[in-house]
Amino acid sequence: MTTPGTPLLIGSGLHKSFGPTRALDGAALSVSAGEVLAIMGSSGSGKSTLLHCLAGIVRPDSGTISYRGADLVGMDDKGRSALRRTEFGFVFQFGQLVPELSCLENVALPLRLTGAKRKQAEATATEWLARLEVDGLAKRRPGDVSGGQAQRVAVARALVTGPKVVFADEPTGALDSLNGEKVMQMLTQAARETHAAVVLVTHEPRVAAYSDREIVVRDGHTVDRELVA
Amino acid sequence: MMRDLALGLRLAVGGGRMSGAALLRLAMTAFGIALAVAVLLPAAAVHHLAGAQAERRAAIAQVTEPRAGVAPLLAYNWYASVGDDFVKVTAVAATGANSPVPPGLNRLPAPGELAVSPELAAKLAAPDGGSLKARLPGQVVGRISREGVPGADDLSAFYGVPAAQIEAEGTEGTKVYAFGRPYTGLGLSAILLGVILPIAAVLLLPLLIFVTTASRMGAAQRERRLAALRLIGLDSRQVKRVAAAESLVGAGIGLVAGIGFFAVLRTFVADILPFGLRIFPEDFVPSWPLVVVIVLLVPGLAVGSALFGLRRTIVEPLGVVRQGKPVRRRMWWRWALTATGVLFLAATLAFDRGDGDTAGALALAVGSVFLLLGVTALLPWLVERLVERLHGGSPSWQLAIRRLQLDSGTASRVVSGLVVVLAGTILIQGVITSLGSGIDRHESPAGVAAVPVRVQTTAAHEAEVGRLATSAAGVTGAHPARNITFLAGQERYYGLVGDCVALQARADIGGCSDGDAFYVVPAEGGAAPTGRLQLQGYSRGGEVPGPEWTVPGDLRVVRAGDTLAGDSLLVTPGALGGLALPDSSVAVYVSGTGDPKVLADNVGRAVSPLAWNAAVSNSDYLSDYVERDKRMVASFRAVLLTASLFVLAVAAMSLLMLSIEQISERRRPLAALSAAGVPIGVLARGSLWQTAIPVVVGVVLAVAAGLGLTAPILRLADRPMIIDVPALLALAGATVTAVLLVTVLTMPLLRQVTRLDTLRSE
Repeated sequence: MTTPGTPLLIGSGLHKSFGPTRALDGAALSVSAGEVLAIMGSSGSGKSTLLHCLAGIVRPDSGTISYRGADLVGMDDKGRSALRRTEFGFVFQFGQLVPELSCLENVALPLRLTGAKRKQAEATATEWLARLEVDGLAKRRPGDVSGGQAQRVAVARALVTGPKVVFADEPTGALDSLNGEKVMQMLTQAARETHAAVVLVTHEPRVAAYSDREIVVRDGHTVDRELVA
Repeated sequence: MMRDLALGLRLAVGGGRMSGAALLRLAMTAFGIALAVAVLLPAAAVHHLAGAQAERRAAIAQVTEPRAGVAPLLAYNWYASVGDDFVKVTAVAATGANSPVPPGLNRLPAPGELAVSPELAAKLAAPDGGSLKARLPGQVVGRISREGVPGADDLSAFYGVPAAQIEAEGTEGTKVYAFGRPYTGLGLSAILLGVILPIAAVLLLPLLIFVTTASRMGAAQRERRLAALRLIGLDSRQVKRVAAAESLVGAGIGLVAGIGFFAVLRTFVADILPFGLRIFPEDFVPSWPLVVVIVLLVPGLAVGSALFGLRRTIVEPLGVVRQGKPVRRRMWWRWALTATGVLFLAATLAFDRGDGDTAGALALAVGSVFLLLGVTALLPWLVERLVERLHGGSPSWQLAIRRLQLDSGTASRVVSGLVVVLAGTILIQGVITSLGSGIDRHESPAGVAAVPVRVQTTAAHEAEVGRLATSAAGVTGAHPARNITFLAGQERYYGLVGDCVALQARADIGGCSDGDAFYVVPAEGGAAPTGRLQLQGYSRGGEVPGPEWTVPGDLRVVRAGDTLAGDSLLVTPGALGGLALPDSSVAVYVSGTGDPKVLADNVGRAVSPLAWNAAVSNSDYLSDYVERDKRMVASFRAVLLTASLFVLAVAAMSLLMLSIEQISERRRPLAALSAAGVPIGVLARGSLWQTAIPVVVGVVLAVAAGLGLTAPILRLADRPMIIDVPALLALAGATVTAVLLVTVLTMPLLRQVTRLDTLRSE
């Protein structure tokens, strides 16, 4: 088990360009176990790209990313996919649940992909749905539930495998403030209970307020919130 | 209204800024329409083709009613053959300056000259044309033009002879006063109604489904656009007109492409027809009224498909596109169709095996049609029920099952077109295989090897044929045998009187010496004749009575299996006790050395001066028919397989579009799953199962229905059921390939939607 406070994920000197557009220009950050880190920034500042690099979804052009001592940049696609499947969890803004699967099956899916038996996976998924207070939706499909409920199901799916890091990209972006707050409350609470780190991308200060620490991405650089006057 | 249509047309082409989905929809709609046009135009052209041939046949018909002042043309028809090529030769001789000239000829051929049809000229010019030439009299001096032959595959010739030669044939010759009878038109012929329309309908069904599927591609995007139009004030009817106009663009492109495809097809259609059929490309044009119908019908089909796709969609102004409640699948008519089919098929059990009764055949035909339609209608319900009961399995399996549980109807509809064609193919294939299994059973009598060539002639020319034949290179002997009918009251025994060599070429009679007589028991059984029989010949179109003959007491009864020409009494001259045989047709069997084919050609050239009085063929001429039947069966198989593969390809393309549409619609969840580390293989396998399940259910259903229908047909025909395993395996293999191909082709899109930019939400 990773001790809270120990650096878990460290990125430094990260550069990433999409054609002529420079998305990251020397960005750096570290996340400790159990820490909730908010990455803020204006639209197009590169915060989502930073999250994608840290999560191993895209490979930076240069720089290093270390997860519990392992070099994420040098890892092949298969290794990074396996890491994302077993060590990381993800919550996106909307439309991330598979529409034809029930909410229960959506939550159980990551466990099934790691080899768990269906009954066992669904039992664990049921616990998580209950924890996020959406156990009544188990048999319903994502299209039949509200946006807030679907996001809580997505949070359950992100946490069901016991990830060390949860990446959340604008998780409340498509929700009203009440539902947004509820989702953030549950996400951070559940993450803290399981000592999972949360890397949260948002442009809303209200959402960032749920974090332990904030950094700002500006023109591809990262700056500590405290230093931004 | 016109403004709405114009707006729809503008939106369809998107001012040059079309999205991938819209472009694909346009391309696929156009492709489907092009294929539909390419099926309909040839169907319409076949009607015209039959009409053109019937018109020429009427134009070359001989008029034998006397006409005042016209010196008739004397004509005598006979057939010369090599293998299964039969050449209709007409000997002609003018009786005066104004004797009519047959259409297609500039002048009558002079005695010894031969004018040949285009197809015959081509066969004579071919490397193996020598054998055919050896069977024809005279020198080829010209060709019959297209006006003089009904079809391109017509094998015919006009041979000039002196008038006296035809006059010598008496009533067998014809006096022709003119050519051409009034052509009253083909109308809605039985060919069109009975053959072409069902085939076109069967091929059009999957195309209709294809066009419907294509018109629904990018539906979400289109519905958003239509919603935007509602917002700016268009009412729901106007919006439907806009949607209809959008689909017209694809239909228009498809129509042009289909006509272009047909134009190209026409140029080489003569070379690609099955069953050895040949046609003049000039005849293969659709008649204008049918073209107008097609040009109006096809865009209507596209518009209808687009509106059908929108039938449960309510486009509202606030960008909200609401799906109406799904219609509950009505079952009664699906079961009614199937039950009617089963009842009719069960009714055939009331008929005995081998009973060719019309009522039985009718029950079978009606039952087959109802059962095929019923099975097709049941498929969506069956797939729905099946996937409802499926649980568990791997994540990819679960993804596919859940997707099909949400909507299996579309995929099932796509596959249902495939089912009816596959079941029909299996049915026809099974019947052909089982009926064709008897083709190989023919075995020639052993004696055929000794006398491989046969010349058919008359009693009057028997001696001359013998003399000419034995003068040919390689010939060692000639053995004439006269065709005689033996009458016992109303009972007729067909037979042959000839030496042992000739009789042994007709049936396996074992040892033979002059003075022997044989009764060959027919396959269906029979009793040997006894007592006195009346001999009868057949010459110049009439029966010739002969003397009475007493069946010898030592008549040998043989069970020789197959006999050539179905003879039952084979008699050597010694057994007739010196009776004079009546005039009749004669078969002169020729023995010789070397290649039998070369020997036949040599004999053909030697007897050619006798023209119609000496027709040369192989002694084992049934083998030629067996070969022809085998080729026909092979052609039939090839046509059926091609049609099945075509329909399978269309269904596969429909499934491909469906997969592309579903992947596009699930862009975000798929990208999220991929970001969360789900291997793309899991998603690809999900796509594979999703395509495979309805197809496999459909193919299993088609095989069951096809084989189920073959059994009662063969029972009535009293033939054993032989399953054409290679054909079934070929279809199964093609199906698996199609499913795999669809999955492979969706992979690039799957990779694209799981890329980073799909996740960007700002």
